[in-house]
Amino acid sequence: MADMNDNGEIKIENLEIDFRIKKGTVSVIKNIDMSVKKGRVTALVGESGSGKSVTSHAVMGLLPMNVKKLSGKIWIDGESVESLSVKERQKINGTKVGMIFQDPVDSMNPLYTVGNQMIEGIRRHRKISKSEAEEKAVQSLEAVNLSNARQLMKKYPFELSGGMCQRVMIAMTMSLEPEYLIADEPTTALDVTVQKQIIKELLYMSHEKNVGILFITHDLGVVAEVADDVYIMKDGKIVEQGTVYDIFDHPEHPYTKMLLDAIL
Amino acid sequence: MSVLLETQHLTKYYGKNSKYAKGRNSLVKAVDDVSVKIEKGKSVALIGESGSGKTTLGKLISCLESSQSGKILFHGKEIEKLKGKALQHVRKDMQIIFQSSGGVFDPLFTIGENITEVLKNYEKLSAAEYRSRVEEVLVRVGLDASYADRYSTNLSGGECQRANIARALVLRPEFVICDEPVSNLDYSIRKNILNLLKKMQEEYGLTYLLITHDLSNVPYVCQQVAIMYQGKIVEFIDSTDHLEEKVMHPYTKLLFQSIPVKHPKERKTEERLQEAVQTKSFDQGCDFQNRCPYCTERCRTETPQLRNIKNGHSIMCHNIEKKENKS
Repeated sequence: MADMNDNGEIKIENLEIDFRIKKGTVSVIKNIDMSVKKGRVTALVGESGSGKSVTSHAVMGLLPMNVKKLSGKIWIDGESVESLSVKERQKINGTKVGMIFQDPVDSMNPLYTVGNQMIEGIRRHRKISKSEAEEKAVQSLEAVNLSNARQLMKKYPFELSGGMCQRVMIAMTMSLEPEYLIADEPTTALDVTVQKQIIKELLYMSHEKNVGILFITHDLGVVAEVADDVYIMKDGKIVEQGTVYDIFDHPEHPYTKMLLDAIL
Repeated sequence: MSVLLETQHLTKYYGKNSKYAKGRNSLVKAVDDVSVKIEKGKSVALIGESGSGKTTLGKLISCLESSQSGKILFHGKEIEKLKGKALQHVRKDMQIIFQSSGGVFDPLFTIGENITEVLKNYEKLSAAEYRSRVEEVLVRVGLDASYADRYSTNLSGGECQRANIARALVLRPEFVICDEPVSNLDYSIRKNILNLLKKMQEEYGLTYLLITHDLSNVPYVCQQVAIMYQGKIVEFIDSTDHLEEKVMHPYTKLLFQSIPVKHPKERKTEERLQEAVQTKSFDQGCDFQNRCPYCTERCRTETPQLRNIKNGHSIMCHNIEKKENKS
């Protein structure tokens, strides 16, 4: 967090998303503004169905086909992204903004080894030889504190535990050195002990490598552990925002108070 | 206090005789020599990471799996040898609440029909009486009678879990096994469900076996805690007040450290953690030896036994004994 001033950000302005369904349309995101700054962890908190995943998919350009209305602006480092072609979009996804998902085992192809999938991802975006890509993959696996990285490259996703798979996913995403990382409920499917390890890993990325992390979760306990900025989302609207201390010390909105009350 | 359920040296290994395991050492000690006593009115929480064998123990107790050796006594009766009608009769007093609430109900029948099905196995009543029993239990768990005519696919996760609890309680059992009852739910409704379980405990005089990986669930419903690691119970405490100060086993301490903080000011800056290598159990020594920060030579060679160190507090660790001797 040394040079906060010239740090970039993902900025979302007046985002509105409607989905087409059988009986007319349903408004999923209603006019939200938010920003994700580099070197900080921004948490987006809400219950299931509140629209937090749709927001992240909009940033990545991964919205499903039944989107009826999409208005508002999304800037990544000052560059507007809605007008990009599919090819330009593919260039940004991965290199500029990486994403990890809730279910790490399902995020990988069970028919290919970890190494195979990592090398494919790296070579898709960087023009380097296979052996160089392999070196890079091993380095990034070691960077997320996995031992025996070379052996791990030869394994299949189903041979790994859930926590190891999530680490591999982080390594895979971070091997392209993105400036932003969107983590969609990265610890929900994991045990508490493993959750702690993954959180520490993400914090390390944010502090040491100046990555801006959008952390999507429904668990305010995890938010207390990682976040710098917090957005509380309900029914497609941001009902409260502020720094993590604002939210925990002076919650304003009744919904925020209810969520805080629900911490075990 | 009468002993409701007791297991004696219960053991379950997987994989030894499996046709896929030929020639390979793939023996998994899911439950390894576990002896617990559950007294009436004293609910037990069974805590452990995934793969520690807690669900298998739950399945053994409910006779959904058969054990290799050991005994299960329910009201002093050995239930493992029972079959057919007699076993079904035991199930009336011993119900299970599963983790996946949606998967419990047949989606083609209404919630009411699903719950009536359970009742029909044990009680012969008229259609109106069935209906009133179902409605009564649905109201008890905080839903209303109209839910009896709805389908499980039309309920939210929290409502479905409430209906699931209703299904387990409609027979008025004494003993309920809850296998991760809240881990599939959003955080905002976890507390409600735990409070509901507690309320039901008071109203029906239930005894729970709560299987969970999250220690923060424990104080809501349980009076005793058993910590499980690699198929063995490594620590047992018969009180849940100020649990964090009482625990001694390094594994339990690790579990406590993993609970997320309640307020950002409590954050600790710790080292990044190594991925825990989940090995199959060791031939020699303590099963926790490769993750334990206090591991000594003795831990690697000698297998510790579960022993009583204080009234109602047993632990499986060599190092604790040393501390006791010094003081």
